[in-house]
Amino acid sequence: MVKYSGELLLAASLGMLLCVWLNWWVIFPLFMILFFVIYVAMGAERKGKLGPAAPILWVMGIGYLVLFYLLIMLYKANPTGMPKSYFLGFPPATAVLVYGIWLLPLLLGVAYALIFDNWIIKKEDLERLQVHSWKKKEKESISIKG
Amino acid sequence: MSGVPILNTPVTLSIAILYLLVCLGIGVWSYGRTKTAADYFITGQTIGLWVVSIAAFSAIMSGFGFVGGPGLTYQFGTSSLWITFAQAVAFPMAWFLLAKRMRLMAEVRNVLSLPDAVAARYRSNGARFWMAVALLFGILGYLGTQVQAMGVVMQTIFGIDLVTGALIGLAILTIYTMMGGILAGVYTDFFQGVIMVFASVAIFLWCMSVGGGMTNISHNVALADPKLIGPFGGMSIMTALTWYFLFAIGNAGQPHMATKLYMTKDIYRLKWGGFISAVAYALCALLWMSLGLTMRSLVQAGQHAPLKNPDLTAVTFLMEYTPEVLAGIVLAGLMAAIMSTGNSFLNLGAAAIVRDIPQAFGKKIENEVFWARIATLGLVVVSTFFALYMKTLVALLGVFGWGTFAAAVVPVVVIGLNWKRGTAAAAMAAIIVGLVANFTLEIMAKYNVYKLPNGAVVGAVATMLAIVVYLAVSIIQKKPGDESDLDPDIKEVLEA
Repeated sequence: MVKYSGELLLAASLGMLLCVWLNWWVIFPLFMILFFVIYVAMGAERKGKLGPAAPILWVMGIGYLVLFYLLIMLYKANPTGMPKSYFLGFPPATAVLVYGIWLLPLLLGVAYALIFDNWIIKKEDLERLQVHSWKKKEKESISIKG
Repeated sequence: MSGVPILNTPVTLSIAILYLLVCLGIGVWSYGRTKTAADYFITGQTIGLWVVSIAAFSAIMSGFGFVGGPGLTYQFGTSSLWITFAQAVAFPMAWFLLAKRMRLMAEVRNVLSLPDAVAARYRSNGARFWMAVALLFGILGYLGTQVQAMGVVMQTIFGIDLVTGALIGLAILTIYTMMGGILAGVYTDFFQGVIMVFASVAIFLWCMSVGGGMTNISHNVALADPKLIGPFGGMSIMTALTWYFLFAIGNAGQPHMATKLYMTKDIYRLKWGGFISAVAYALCALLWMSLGLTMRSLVQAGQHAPLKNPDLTAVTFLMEYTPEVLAGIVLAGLMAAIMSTGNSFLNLGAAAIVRDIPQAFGKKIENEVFWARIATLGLVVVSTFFALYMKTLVALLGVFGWGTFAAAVVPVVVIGLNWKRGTAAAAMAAIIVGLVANFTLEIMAKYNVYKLPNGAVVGAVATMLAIVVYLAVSIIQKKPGDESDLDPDIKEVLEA
């Protein structure tokens, strides 16, 4: 997946554009979720591998698919009529939007923090970059007073 | 008085004046700490986790979130919630894609702005120039709308006319921005962010109390029109979905958010930043959601007359349903939202004028801090002129601000810093396509020449087009594994 991330992102973008023009709103979330997953994978990838980010991406992709299509299913069951029931203050489809699509992705921020020290940034990255950092300081130690 | 309600009681006035004095105080405090261009544009990398996270969220939450958002919810129900709900995933995604790369970029290069990063990534002054141009367009539009919003809020609080109100608010914003640069900006952003969160949570609780609980509010709104409380609201389904896409991925493309990632003391401070920013924003989204729905519910229940102007939803609720202290805090929160966004744009605009565009032509300005202060003043004058005398242009630029940044920055910076095949030609093509698509589609829609089908949002489509152009041109131009156009230090940043 990571090897072809550019191509997959291109396919997802073209897919979304097609859905916009053809009003395929049921298919649109599929391409959007593919885009999100590839997009985050690009940021999490290290030397072609996803490491501990892989399960996060699986959960993110499947979670989004379940939530979006549950919302669509509930919406289609009663698209414009009066709500027959309320779940925690909202009609069922809107509750999926509020408690699922809105609030659950906050966990992605927790996932980022959990893999930060052993995957996002490693000590050896900083050691390798230290060399360039010293070069920068030698070359560009200009301070301009205001 | 152009129909704007006035809320100038002694309590609200005292809170507003206290708030403005604190902002000025932070400006004075920062002045002595702003000596170099790095201090002025990226705080000299002295910022901790909480300040950078709250500043990043408060820069994204503009005055629109406090005025336009509740107004849209009042008018169209849940449709606009797709904008604000997208931020819950947007901040973590931005952190995955940008936090590490931006901070490491600042470690190996003297980068103070987004065009600096673009020039380093693509070894191209052409790409730097086009990025600076795209930013300037978006900045002028955003600043113009913030000036107009500032006038309305100052009028509400102080009962003065709109132009005087805008000028007083701008004078305070300009003083603290010129004195303390972005250092003053991030600390006022932090202070302002805390006010916004507090105000939003308080208003949410108040709305639940006034409206009789969420189920009662939802039921009343459904009686008005069941679609309004359905998952997509009163607008088209494609509008809601394309909004979600644009605001989820566009967050990382907002320069006032992205450049905050340069500013931390060290890279480890970024660990929990995405989560903190997302939670803080989510708390503010409570106001956006609850205020509009509650007002609609009150109208349906016959407890309030229908509003003539949906943009007055927030102010009307504050005047008629909340205690003065809470109204004062929320109005200060509203000023905070406007000023924190305005300050970030002034700083970015100054960087584009005194640093990015001259450097794109191989010129380096001496004494950047002095000229940045002059450029800040110039930007205030120009945007005030636009806001007061060229309202159509400002409305257009303001509408296309978020989309312009997303279309230019997402492919070129966000994807470009995570994908080694991106080329300079692709970057320039994507920026130009993004700019042209945003501007022409907005103008054609405004003058009824052509509208995107099925209610699709212009900024989303322009961003998709810019991404397609960037990826397609790069894939055609460059074979996989070809890294000949990357400097060794940039290659290390992209591989870390």
